[in-house]
Amino acid sequence: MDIGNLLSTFFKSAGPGGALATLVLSGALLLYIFLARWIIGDDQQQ
Amino acid sequence: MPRWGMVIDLDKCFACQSCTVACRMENNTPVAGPDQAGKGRAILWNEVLPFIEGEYPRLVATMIPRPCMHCDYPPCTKVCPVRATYKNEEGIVVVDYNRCIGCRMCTVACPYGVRYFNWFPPEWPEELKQHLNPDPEVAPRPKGVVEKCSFCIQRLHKARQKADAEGRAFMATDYIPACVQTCTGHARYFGDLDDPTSLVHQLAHSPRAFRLLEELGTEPKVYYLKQG
Amino acid sequence: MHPENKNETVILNPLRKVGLADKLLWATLLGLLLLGIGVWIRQYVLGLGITGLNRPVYWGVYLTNFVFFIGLAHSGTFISAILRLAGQGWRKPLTRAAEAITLFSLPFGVASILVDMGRPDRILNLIWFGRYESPILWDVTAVGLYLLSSIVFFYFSLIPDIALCRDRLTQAPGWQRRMYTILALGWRGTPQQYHRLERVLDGMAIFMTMLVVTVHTVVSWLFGMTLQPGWHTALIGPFFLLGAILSGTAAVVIVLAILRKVYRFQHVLPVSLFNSLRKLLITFLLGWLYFMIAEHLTIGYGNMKEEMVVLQDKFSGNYALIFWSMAVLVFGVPLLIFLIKGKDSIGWMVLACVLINIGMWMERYIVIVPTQISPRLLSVSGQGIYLPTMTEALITVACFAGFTLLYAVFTRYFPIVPVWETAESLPVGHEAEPALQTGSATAD
Repeated sequence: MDIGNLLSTFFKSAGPGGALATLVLSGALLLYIFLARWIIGDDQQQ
Repeated sequence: MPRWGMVIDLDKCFACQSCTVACRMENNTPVAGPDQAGKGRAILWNEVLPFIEGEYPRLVATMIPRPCMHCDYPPCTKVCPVRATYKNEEGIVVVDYNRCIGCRMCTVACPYGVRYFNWFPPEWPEELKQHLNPDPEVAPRPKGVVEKCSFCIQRLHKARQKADAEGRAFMATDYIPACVQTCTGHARYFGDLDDPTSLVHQLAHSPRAFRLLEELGTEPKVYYLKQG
Repeated sequence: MHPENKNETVILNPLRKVGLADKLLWATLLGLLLLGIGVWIRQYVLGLGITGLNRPVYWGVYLTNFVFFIGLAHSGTFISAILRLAGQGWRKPLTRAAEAITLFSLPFGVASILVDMGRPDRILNLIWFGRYESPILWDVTAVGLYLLSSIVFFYFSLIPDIALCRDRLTQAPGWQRRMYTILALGWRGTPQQYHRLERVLDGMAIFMTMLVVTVHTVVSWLFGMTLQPGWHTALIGPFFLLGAILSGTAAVVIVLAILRKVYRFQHVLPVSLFNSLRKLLITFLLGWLYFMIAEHLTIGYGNMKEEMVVLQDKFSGNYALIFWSMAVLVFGVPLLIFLIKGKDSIGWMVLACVLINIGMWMERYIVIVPTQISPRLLSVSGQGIYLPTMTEALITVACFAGFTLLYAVFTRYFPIVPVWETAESLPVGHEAEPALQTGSATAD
C-alpha cells in the first residue's frame, strides 16, 4: 500500500476533510458529555 | 492526454485588447460599468496589463496580456476548502460555480490576480444582453462566487463532440480559445505543450520565452516571447 | 453542601435584580445587533459589492474582525488554563470574567467569517466537500473545537455556582430557577464531586493551552500559507498568537474594572489583581516589540523588492499613519502608563488597555490590507484602494454590541466571580489552596 499516495489523496480530495472535521468535533462532544456525567457521578454506589 | 498551454509573442501584440473583448463575448463575463470598474470590480478574464518603467520621454512600456496562467502547481487550487477550483487532468484550472462558497482565499492566494469575484449579480447593457453566448457551460455566474479564465474549456468540449460526431480522432488543433482565434496581430499560439511537434512546444522552448513570476515555482503554462 | 465564602452575598448581589438601567442598556445593544443583522441580510441580497472590498483587496474589515475577536478570546483561556497550569492562585477571582470574554467573543469571530463569505448559504459544503489541504479547513477544525471546548470548560467550572444559585436565589422568577435546576445537573457539592471537577479542569487546562496555540496559529496561516509578500513568513503564527494574548489580557483588565465599579466588587476584585495583570501585560508588550522588530528588521535588511513594496507602504506610504499610530497605541503609550502610572491605579490601567485593544485592531488591519493593496503584477499599473463602507462599519459595531450584550446579560443571571473557587473552604476533604485566602499573595 502506498502510504504517501493515500495521504496525498486524503489532503487533496473533496470530502475526507469534512468527514474528519465532523469526527473530531463530534468525538470531542461525546467526550465532554461523558466527562460531565463522570463529574456529577453517582456517589450513592461508592 | 494533452497539456494545454499558450504562447504570447509580445513583439506581435500591440495591446488592442481584442482578446479581452473576445473573451468577454465568449464567456459571458458581466459588464461592471465605469463606476464599479473604477472601484476595481471589473471582471476581465483576459486583462492587458501595462508595465511602464521610467518617465516620459524616456519610458519603456511593455503591455502584457494576462489570461490565467493555468499553473502546473497552482497556489489557488491548494487553498480551496471545498475543491470548487481544481486543475483538471489536462492541466486546465477550472471553477465549479455551484460549489464555490465565496471565501475568496483563492483570489488572495493567486499571485497573478487572475481570479475575479462576483460582487453583484451579473449585469449587461440591453444591447449586449441579446448577444450573450447561449452555451449553458458559460451561463452567467451568480453573485458571490469566483470566476476566471478557463482556456474556453467549453470550446474544448465542443471540439471533442464535433470530432466524435464526424467519426474522427480529436486533434489538438481542433481547439483554440476565443482570445487566440481573435488575436489581431496573430500574437497568440495555443496547443499541446507535451507534443514536441507542436508550435507551442517549440515556441515555449525558444530563447525568447519567459513566464511571469517564474521564481515562485508555480510553473505557469502561459509563455511569453520577449519583446525586441 | 456549599462552599463557605464570605463574599457570597456580594457576588450574588447582581443576580437579585435587573434594573431599568440594565434593560435600557440591553435594548440599545440589542438594537445595534439587530441593525447589524439587517445590514448583513441586505448585503446577502444585494451582493458583497456594497462593502468597500474590491480587487485586489478581497479581504478587509471582516477578516480583521475575525482575527481580532479570536484574539480577544484568548484572554480567558490564557488566564484560566495557562495560569491554572502555572499554579497562579491569584487568578481565581477573575477566571470566570476572563473566560466569559472567550465565550462571548468567539461567536462573533465565527460570524465575521460567515459575513465575509460570498455564499454563506453554502457553508455546509465545508462538511460535504471539505479538504484538509486548505488552511480554511484547519481553521474550521481548530476554531470549532476551541469554541466547543471553551463552552464546556466554562460550563464545568460554573456548575457548583449554578447549584448555589439554585439553592440561594429562591426569590427569582420561576423560569430562572428552572434554568438553574436544569443547568446544575443535580450537583450536590460532595467532596468527591469537587475532586473530580478539579481533575477534569486540570486535564482540560492542558488541552485548552494546546488549543490556544493551535487556534491562533492556524488563523494566521490563512495569510501565512499564501505566497504574498508581508504574509509569507514563519513568524506570522507566533506573532499573531502573542498579539492575541496581549489584546485578550488587556480586555480582561477593562472588563474587570467595569465589573468592579458597576457591581461594587471592590473587595472581591482587589487592586492587587490589576497589579498582577500589569506585570503580565508589560511582559507581553516587550514580547510584542521583540516580534515587531524581528519581523520588520529581517524584511527591511533583506531588502527584497516585493517585500519592500509592502514594508514601505507601512513605514512611509499610504499606511504610515495607521502603522505608526498603531505602534504608539499598542506599545509606546501603554508601556509608559504601565511603568509610571499603572501601579495601584485602575483608571490608568484601563486607559492603557483600551489603547492596546484599539491598536491591536489596527495591527490586524495593517497586516491584512497593505499586502493586498500592492499585489505583484498589479502594483505596476497603480495601487489598489480600500475604503470600508457603512456596511462594514455597522456590522463591526454590531459585533462589539453583540459581545457586550451577551456579557452584560450573563452577569445578571450567573455569578461572574466564581464563588466556589474563591471560597475559604470547600466541603470536607478538599482544602482550598492557601494562595487564594488573602487574594494578594503575589501583589506588591
